[in-house]
Amino acid sequence: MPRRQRDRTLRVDPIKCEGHALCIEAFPEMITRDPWNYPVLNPLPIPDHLLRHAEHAVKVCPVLALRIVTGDRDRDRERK
Amino acid sequence: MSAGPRLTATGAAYADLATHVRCHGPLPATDAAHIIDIVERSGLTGRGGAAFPTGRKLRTVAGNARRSGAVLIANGCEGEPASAKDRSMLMKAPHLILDGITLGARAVGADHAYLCVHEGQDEVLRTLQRAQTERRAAGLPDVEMTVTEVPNRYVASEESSLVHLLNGGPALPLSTPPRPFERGVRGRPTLVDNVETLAQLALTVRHGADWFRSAGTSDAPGTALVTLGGAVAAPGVYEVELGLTGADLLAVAGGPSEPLQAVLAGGYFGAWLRADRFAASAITPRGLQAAGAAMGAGIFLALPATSCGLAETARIAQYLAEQSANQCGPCLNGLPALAEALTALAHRGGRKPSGTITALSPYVTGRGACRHPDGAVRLINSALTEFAADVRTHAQRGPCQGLRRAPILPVPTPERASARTGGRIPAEV
Ligand SMILES: Cc1cc2nc3c(=O)[nH]c(=O)nc-3n(C[C@H](O)[C@H](O)[C@H](O)COP(=O)(O)O)c2cc1C
Ligand code: SF4
Ligand code: SF4
Repeated sequence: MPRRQRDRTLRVDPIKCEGHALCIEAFPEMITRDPWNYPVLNPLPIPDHLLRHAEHAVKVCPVLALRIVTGDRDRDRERK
Repeated sequence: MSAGPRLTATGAAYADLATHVRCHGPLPATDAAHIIDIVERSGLTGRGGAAFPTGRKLRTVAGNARRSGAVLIANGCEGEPASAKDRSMLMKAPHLILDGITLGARAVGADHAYLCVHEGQDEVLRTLQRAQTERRAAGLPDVEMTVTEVPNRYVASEESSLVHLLNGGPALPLSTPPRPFERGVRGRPTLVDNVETLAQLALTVRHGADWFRSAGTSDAPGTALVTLGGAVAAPGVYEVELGLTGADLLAVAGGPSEPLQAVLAGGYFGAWLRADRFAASAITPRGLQAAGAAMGAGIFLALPATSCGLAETARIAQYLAEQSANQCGPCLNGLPALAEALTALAHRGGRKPSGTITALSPYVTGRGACRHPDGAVRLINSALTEFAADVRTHAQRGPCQGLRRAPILPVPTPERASARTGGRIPAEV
């Protein structure tokens, strides 16, 4: 999927994340719950009109595990 | 396909420096640009599991390290319980690995290298000391090197775990990015390569890209070390040309020792292939991927027709769940849940467990900091598809006869799997 350079997507640090699920309550449009209460992120770019909600979700995470990343930081993900 | 053995050409149980040089020639004086160029053109890919192009990794690290200098890590941990190839190379041909470390370090501009092995391998440590003493006496221009012992856990040998350990932390995976090739040991770009990859590099820099490509296929050039185990006549480590068929690969170990139902290709990071599909598959990273498995670190385990593939996989799944570093929610919760469901299916039967596995799997794959959970999920799901008939039998009539057989696949005992790094020691494996 080609991404525009300025696309913003959600990214969680799975080591930091403690499954408080606060982000899920703050931004249900793009964050859903897995069977253990950890967040499942919608991988698509955040639409402009939802950006405020995304920023709010980032703010409520007590351990700073959630971020919004810009551009294509994912290019090396296919490697282990 | 032509060439004879390469990495194992001396045939010696321990090739001392004189034997090594007589067989392979002296350590080349080639400069960084040439090393990278030769390795890139050779098409060599990593032998540690991911089959990433080695030349591209060298060029990336060298580029990132232009100002800061780099660090090299030779990964000789061989975390896969069924694998024996790295230890075999370390014992028989340490000079090839040490040549590769010096050439790799030269290529990326590293002034220090670490050779990582699992702890408790006294024979390997003694062999390395002996080899290093020989090299010092001969005045070889080696890079400064430290041999580092790594806790005996499956994820401790993942590349970011090694970086974490060498930076003074526990041997647990780190969140990426940054990846080691961007920022690794002491903040420097770090080249992590498997020890066999470095040995292959040492020969390729000597003899050239065309020589390397004269074995194997255009798509998967060269030779590779494989560990063949399970129900084959002569289990062990062999060097083979890539591109042979699965049937020919089993013949290298004397063929099946009894009728087979499947082969586990790629070790515990790989997948099951039914015996007929395996026999027809091309033994290359791409060929095995097309079949739904992986080359991994070159591990192939043959399962007899009378074994229970579900019970075998359940034991491995339990082991892999216990080996989670317990850092990421989906891995620490998901792997035990999947392993429990598969164990229930194998030992008690019923319809529910396979549904549970299918439902949970998408919540585990790709959701950890490292690829440990992805490999476990792939293995478990390959058991459901390749042993589909058994899944139906277990669902309708309960466990099968295969449970009476002793397990074939090796799973480390709790003692061996115990760890310094905050590892909880499983009561029973
Ligand atoms: C859980 C896990 C365990 C790993 N264990 C090993 C290992 O024991 N030895 C190894 O060479 N690579 C291992 N790897 C792969 C390394 O992270 C890395 O990709 C490899 O050492 C790079 O070398 P290569 O490019 O020569 O293959 C492991 C990866 C994962 C996800
Ligand atoms: S709020 Fe933070 S810690 Fe809690 S689930 Fe979301 S990302 Fe994880
Ligand atoms: S994915 Fe699993 S093994 Fe990898 S770092 Fe996270 S908890 Fe540890």
